[in-house]
Order: sequence, then C-alpha cells, then structure tokens
Amino acid sequence: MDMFDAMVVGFVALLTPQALLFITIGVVYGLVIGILPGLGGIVAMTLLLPFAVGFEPAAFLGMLLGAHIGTIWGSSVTSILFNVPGAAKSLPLIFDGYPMTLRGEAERALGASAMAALLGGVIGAVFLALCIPIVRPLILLLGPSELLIMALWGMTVIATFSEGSVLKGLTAACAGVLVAFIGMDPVTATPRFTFDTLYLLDGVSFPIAMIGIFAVAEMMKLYVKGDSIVSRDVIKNVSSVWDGVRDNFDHIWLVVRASLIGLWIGVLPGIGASTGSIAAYAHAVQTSKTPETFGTGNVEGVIAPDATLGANEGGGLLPTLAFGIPGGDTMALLLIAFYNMGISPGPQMLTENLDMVFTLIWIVVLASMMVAVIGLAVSPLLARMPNLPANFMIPIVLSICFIGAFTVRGRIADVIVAGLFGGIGYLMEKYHYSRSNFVIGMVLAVMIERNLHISLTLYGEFFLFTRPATLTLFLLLVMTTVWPFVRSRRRRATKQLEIDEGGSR
Amino acid sequence: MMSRRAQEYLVAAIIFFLFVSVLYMSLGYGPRARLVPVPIAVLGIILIAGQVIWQNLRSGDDLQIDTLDLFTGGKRSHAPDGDGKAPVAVDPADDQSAGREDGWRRWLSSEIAPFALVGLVLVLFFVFGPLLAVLMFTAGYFVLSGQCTLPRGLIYAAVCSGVFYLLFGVVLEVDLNRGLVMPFINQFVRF
Repeated sequence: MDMFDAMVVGFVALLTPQALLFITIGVVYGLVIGILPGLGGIVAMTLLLPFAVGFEPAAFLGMLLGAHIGTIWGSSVTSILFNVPGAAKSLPLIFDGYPMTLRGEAERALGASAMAALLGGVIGAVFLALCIPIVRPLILLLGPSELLIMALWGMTVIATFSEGSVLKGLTAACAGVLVAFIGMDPVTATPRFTFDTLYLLDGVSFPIAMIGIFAVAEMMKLYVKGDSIVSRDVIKNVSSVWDGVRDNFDHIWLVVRASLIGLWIGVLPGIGASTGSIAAYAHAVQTSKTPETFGTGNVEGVIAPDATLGANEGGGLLPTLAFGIPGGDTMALLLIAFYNMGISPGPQMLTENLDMVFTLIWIVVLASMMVAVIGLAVSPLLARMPNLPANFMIPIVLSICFIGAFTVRGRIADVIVAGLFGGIGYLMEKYHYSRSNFVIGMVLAVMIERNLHISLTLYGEFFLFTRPATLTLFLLLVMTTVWPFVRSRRRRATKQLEIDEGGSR
Repeated sequence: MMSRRAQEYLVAAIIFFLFVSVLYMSLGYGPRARLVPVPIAVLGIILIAGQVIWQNLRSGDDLQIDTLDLFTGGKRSHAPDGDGKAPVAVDPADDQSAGREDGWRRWLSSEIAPFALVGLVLVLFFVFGPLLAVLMFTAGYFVLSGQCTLPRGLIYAAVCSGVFYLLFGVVLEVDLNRGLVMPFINQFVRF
C-alpha cells in the first residue's frame, strides 16, 4: 500500500458516526480531567483501557488519543490561570502565561495556547507523515548512554530557568531525583529509603507529589495572601481569545520551528515532552525581537511551548508504532491498548499496516482541532476563574486536590503525602528553591538510573569516552552548565571596569 | 522572629542535613543500588554548601546567574528582586501590606495558619473519609470565612460534594466511603 492510499484509507476509517463521536467524547473527557490537578493524561487513558474490547479499533483509538490530547491543553489551562502546571510538560507556560493572567490577558493567553496547540498538532502530523522513511535509521543510532546524557542535560538546562539562583535550582533538582528513588530499586530490587514501611515500598507517586507541591502549596499561598489570584480592583480583562489566535499568525514561523522541535523530541524515545517544551521556550527567547520581555507575559512564551506539545504527540507515535518503543508514558499505554486489540507494533506497521498509522495521525489532527474549537469557546469563561475570591477557591481546589490524590491509588496515606508535599512546596516557593526543578528531577531520575545501568553493562565503565556521540553530548552539557557562570563573571568584570573608568575621569 | 538571612541559613542547614542523611543511608545499600543516589547526594551537599558560602561572600546578594540573560545578551528585564523571572510570590512574612498585625500575629498567620489549614483537612479525611471531609471542610470554610451564611454555605458545600461524588464516585468508580468512623456511620445508616 503506497503512502497516498494509506492516508486516504486511514482518513476514511474515521468517517463513521461512532468514530467521530468517540473522538469528541475523548476530547471533552480529557479536557475535564486535564484541568483537575493530578489527574493527567496517564490517569485519563488508564481509565479508558477496559473499553478496548467491544469497539472498533478506530473509534476506540480516537477516544484514547482524543482524551490524551484533551488533557494536554487542560494542563496548559491550569498553568496559565493558576500557576499550577497540570503536568510537568506544561511547566514553561507558568513563566509567561501566568504573568499574562495577572495582567488581565488570560483570554489572550488561553486563545494563543489553544491555537498554538492546534497548529502544532497539524504541522507535526504533516511533517511526521513526510519524515517516516527518514527517521528510522536515526532513531536506531541512539543508545542508552546518549539517552542518559540527554536526561542529565534536561535537568541542568531546566535548572538554568529556575527562579532564584542556579545553585538553588540544581539543589532542588537533586532533591527531586532522590525522592524518586524512594521505594524498590527496579534494577536490584533493593528497598531504598523506605524505613521498613510497606507504603514507601511503592515509592512516592508522581501525580501525588505534583498535586501537593503545586496545587496544595498554591492554595496555602493564596490563603496567606487572602485575595483572589488576580486582584479584582486592579486588573480588568483587556484581551480576547482572538487576540491570542492572531498572535499565532503574527509569529507563524515561531510556531513552525517550535512544532518541529516538539516533533523531533517526540520521535526520540524516552526523552519526554518536558524537555521539548523547555527547549522550545528557550528557542523563543533566543529568537525573539524582545527577549527582555520574557518572564513578564510575552505571548511568544506561551505559543512556543504549546506548539511543541501539540506536535510532540504526533512525533511520539513513530517510535511507538514502528519499534514498539514508547515515546513516553502515555505512548506506553497506547502500546498496551494495541496489544489488547490484537495489533503488534513493529516495522511492519510502516509497511503492511500503514493505514492504521495514518488513522492515528488523522486522529491527532482531528482531536487537536476539536480541542482548539472547544478551548476557544470556553476560554472567556475559564479566564474569569482567577478572579474568584480566595475564600471561594481555596476549599474547592483543596478538596479537588485531596480527592484527586486519594483517587490515584485509593489510599488515605496518599492524601497525607500530598499534604506533606504541599508544605514542602510552600516552603520551596517562599525560599526560592524551584519546584519545577524538583518535579523534573523526579521525572528524569528513573531514566537516568536505568540508562546508566544499561550503559555500564553494555559499554563498560568508560562508556563516556569510548562512545563519541556520548562524549560530544556530555561536553555540550558541561558547556551549557558552566557558561552562565563564565558569562556572569565577564559581565561583572566589564561593569567593574566601566565603573573604575568612570570614577577615574 | 528570625531575619530573612537567618531563615535562609536554617533552610539550607536542613537541606544539608537531609542530603547527608541520604548519603549515610545509601552507603548501606549494595554497589548497584547506591550507584546513582550517592553521587546525587554528594552533588547536593556541594551545591547547598556552595550556596551558603556564596551567600556569605556576597552579603545581601543571592547568586543570580540567569541563563536567559545568556540568550538575551543581558537584555532580559529584571523584576525588583533582580532575578528577571516570572513574578515570584511575595513572601508573606516580608509583605508589609499583609496586615496591620503585630509581629507575632503576623508570624502566626503567615507561617502556621496555612499548615494548620492543610492539617485540618488531612485529619478530616482520615477520620471521616473523602466525601464527608469535603462536605464539612467546604461548608465550614464558606461560613467561617464570612463568604456566606450557614444555610447557603451548607447548600454550596452539598452541591460541591455532589459534583465530586458524581465525578469521582460514579464516573471514575472510586470508593469514597472510607474513613475511621465510616464503619460506624454505615452501621447506623443500615440500622
């Protein structure tokens, strides 16, 4: 079957009332789940798995992927409106999305976010279709040692964007890595930092830590602040969603570049969208005509990460379908769904079952369109939420947080852990230890440890020097970590020289 | 009350102690199990020690190396506290507009109260289970904060609890009937 035939057959498979209905249900379900703290894409998709039997594959996959894409934009909403990332991948939206809310431009931010996610999804899908023949040999070149260095680089890059000092940011990242090691070591089955308790043997659940460290901590902060997130008296809504839509077309080349970043990060298995969205944000700063405005509510800081997240899903499909290697945790669930339906991912997917691959690509496009339409429609309503008084928000959001924490594993102990992380997050925020770094450290810890063990087993102790690609990436990591200090020192020396010269005149 | 600098030192000391504890515990594990935790703990100790030393050397000045400045050539705007990032939450303990209370009351309201609030919710969850805890907490908060009267507060709380029950109990099929006293309440209801 050639590519054009596969594209058409794949699209036609979706033109059934059941398939379209299921995609819509999945998207709405995903949006609602995404806005609730802690109940991200993985939880949303897990709950749908039992429905794999009994429905036609295209319809069920439509619901599954639609839910996942819905949760992505849902998590962007919480980042923009409440400074609470619904998922680690939505962290960069806090940097400029939330300041836009504080300025009364929440609708514009949400509109820009929805449109960027749509354009990213479409661009990513188009380029994915064109790149399928090229990507395969490149993916096979990456080994565990390269993935290890990329994970370490992800942590250090993120530390450079932390609020406060870089040292504090890296400290928070190290703390996050160590928290992730609580529980049973997957390599040696050694219980680590469990204090002989059964509960800690399973480790600290990532969604629970996120709920506590962001959502609960934010409500604690709001309780002390005693006002709404946005002061009603001062900030009026000065924007509309269509301003945000127009922003995407004003910065269309940024959207394209960010989409390609997301696509390629998604293609690389195990890297994760978190690194992609941070990389896209950094790229936006680097290429902007007004870099000094980033961090204060520059819409480019919203567009770039969302376009990346939109394109990332399409990219993540490629290693999942072609090699059976999931591009992330949600793709792992997709694999499980495939096996349940009797479909075996592998190289034959790109030859004999290419139409199924294109069905999924078309689902990504359609779901992205639905998310954008629904998102743009409800954004004016969502934008009013930060103006709600604190005394209304706090009990409701705290209740959602703790019930959400309970829902993850059905344990009251998880609620206590969420509360504990809430206290930790509040103190981290107060003393400027980046919570974002902490969470990213937790996410990347497993990848770091797993790839380190595999690298040592396969390549020996000196793999860093025996593999040129690994060494190159490592040198890049060192440079990007050390360079800020060197540059700062140079800048201080220059300023001191200018002061001395000015004084001597 | 402690000065901000003293608080920073205290927090750094606690973090230092935690990293040292992790290092000590990790040394008791096998070589492969401690392969990553030990270097990370050592790195954490070095970083926090470096942060404290740097703070001492540069009095009144946090380490503020901002890589976004690298990208912008130093052109990126800086917030009043100098870090140039997204707006950082105003430290309630430093915010003069937080209230006209004296030092001790301000310290209580800013430091202890939020923890007490979370602690209260946790106790309610543990004793009464998720659903009843939500009902009691939201009703109590709405009424005691002056947001609404008792009847209206109870109605709002009942509506919230009903929505949560539908979403979590019915749609997601989570068992919300948990808590220390729930078995007794269930017996009473059945009786």
